[in-house]
Amino acid sequence: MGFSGYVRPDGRVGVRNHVLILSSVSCANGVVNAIGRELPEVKTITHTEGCGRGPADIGLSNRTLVGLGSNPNVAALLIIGLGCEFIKAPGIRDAVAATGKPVEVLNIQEKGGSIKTASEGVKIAKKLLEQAAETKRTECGWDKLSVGLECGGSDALSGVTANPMVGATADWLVGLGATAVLSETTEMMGTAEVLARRAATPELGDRIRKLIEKQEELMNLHLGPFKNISISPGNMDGGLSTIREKSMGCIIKGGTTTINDLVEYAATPEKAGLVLMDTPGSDIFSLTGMAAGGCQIMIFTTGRGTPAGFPTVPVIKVATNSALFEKMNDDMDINAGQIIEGKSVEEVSADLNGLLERVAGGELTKAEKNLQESVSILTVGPAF
Amino acid sequence: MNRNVIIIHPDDNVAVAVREIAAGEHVEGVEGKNIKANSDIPQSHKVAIAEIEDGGTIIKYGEPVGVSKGIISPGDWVHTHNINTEEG
Repeated sequence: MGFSGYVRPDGRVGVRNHVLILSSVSCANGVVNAIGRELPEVKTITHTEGCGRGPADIGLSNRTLVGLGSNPNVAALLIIGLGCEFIKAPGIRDAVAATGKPVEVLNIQEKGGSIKTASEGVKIAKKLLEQAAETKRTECGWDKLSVGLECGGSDALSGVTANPMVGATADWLVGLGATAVLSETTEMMGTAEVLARRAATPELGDRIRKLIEKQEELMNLHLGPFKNISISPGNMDGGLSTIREKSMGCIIKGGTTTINDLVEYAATPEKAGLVLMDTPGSDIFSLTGMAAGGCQIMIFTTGRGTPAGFPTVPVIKVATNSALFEKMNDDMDINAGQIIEGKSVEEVSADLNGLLERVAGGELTKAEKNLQESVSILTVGPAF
Repeated sequence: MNRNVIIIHPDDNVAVAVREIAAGEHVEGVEGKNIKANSDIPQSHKVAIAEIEDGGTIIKYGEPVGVSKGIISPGDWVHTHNINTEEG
């Protein structure tokens, strides 16, 4: 048994069959949006990057853009470039084309401006949509699925109801041979020893310790007197006493299995099972990194309530409490608050597993229905 | 069933109040133990479900999350007043 998905030429499997229009640089965003307005059935990704950054950021942006194009939920890709930018559109094309999927490029300066580029882009996108429609869903093994885990807009129940429930689902996925990606390095502070102990090898354990140490140094450097923001007075009022306690409540959503790998932001894990990705705790940056790392579905727990979704990847929203589930029902897919009313973690996790299976097979999440399509590419340095 | 606490991991020596528990109220859902709250426990805060010695480990998620300041008895509210937060 497995799920029903779209098999790509490289053997990876999409749970969606999107044609994506992607800017290589922020200067091309207007044309990407124009194509999206003309053809609402395509997905568009615009962003603020692609030029005017130092080498570390150019590398990060390039890896993220290539990853977003390579995500198996994307059937075909059209990249809109400007022409004089640092991250060249043809470079992204060549990297994504290695997956075997159709990839096209248009540069605005070559085509003679916005209107001509958008008009040609619409023609190309229509052709790509027709090609994509020829791919039908087939049964695939769970080992083809990679699921990203996220929490945001957390409340005092996030670590009590929703995250333990998602942790049980992560264990279920790993047991089936799938990949579960635990991100948000900011939220791992204080848990270096717990995570390192669960690493598949001592070397990986050392890398995890170093990652979390580096994160602590970064926060000291950039946040100064605000470095303790990771455990705020609001967290304390909510009953959390120590940073480790707060972080345990976050990492529990990764479940209890062995950690098989640690990958950089937006990198695709090569190992299955539970994998860590180095992302910030800030939600949209983290979702973007995991989508670029090939996650086909993401599970997102929230207590305060956030509507966030992603253009090409279905995001399943888990409410930590019944009041939120009722109040923001248009945005919430499943209610972990049922644990408070007496259901066991195992029961609600089984409901989530069922939902995950249906979403993999094509059922739209609330974020997809609402067209919640936010993208933010991580940067580490200034713009020049 | 409408419980008033959740024990996240079987090794934990604290439970989490899922609603406010008044002083003297029974802490429901701890098998084989008759524990009453020794003070008001705010919602989502921790209540001890075992005796914890001075300098003992607070265990939640099956992992140490802090070190106690003073002896903590079953039914005690557990927070920054009786956890050494520097150790966390």
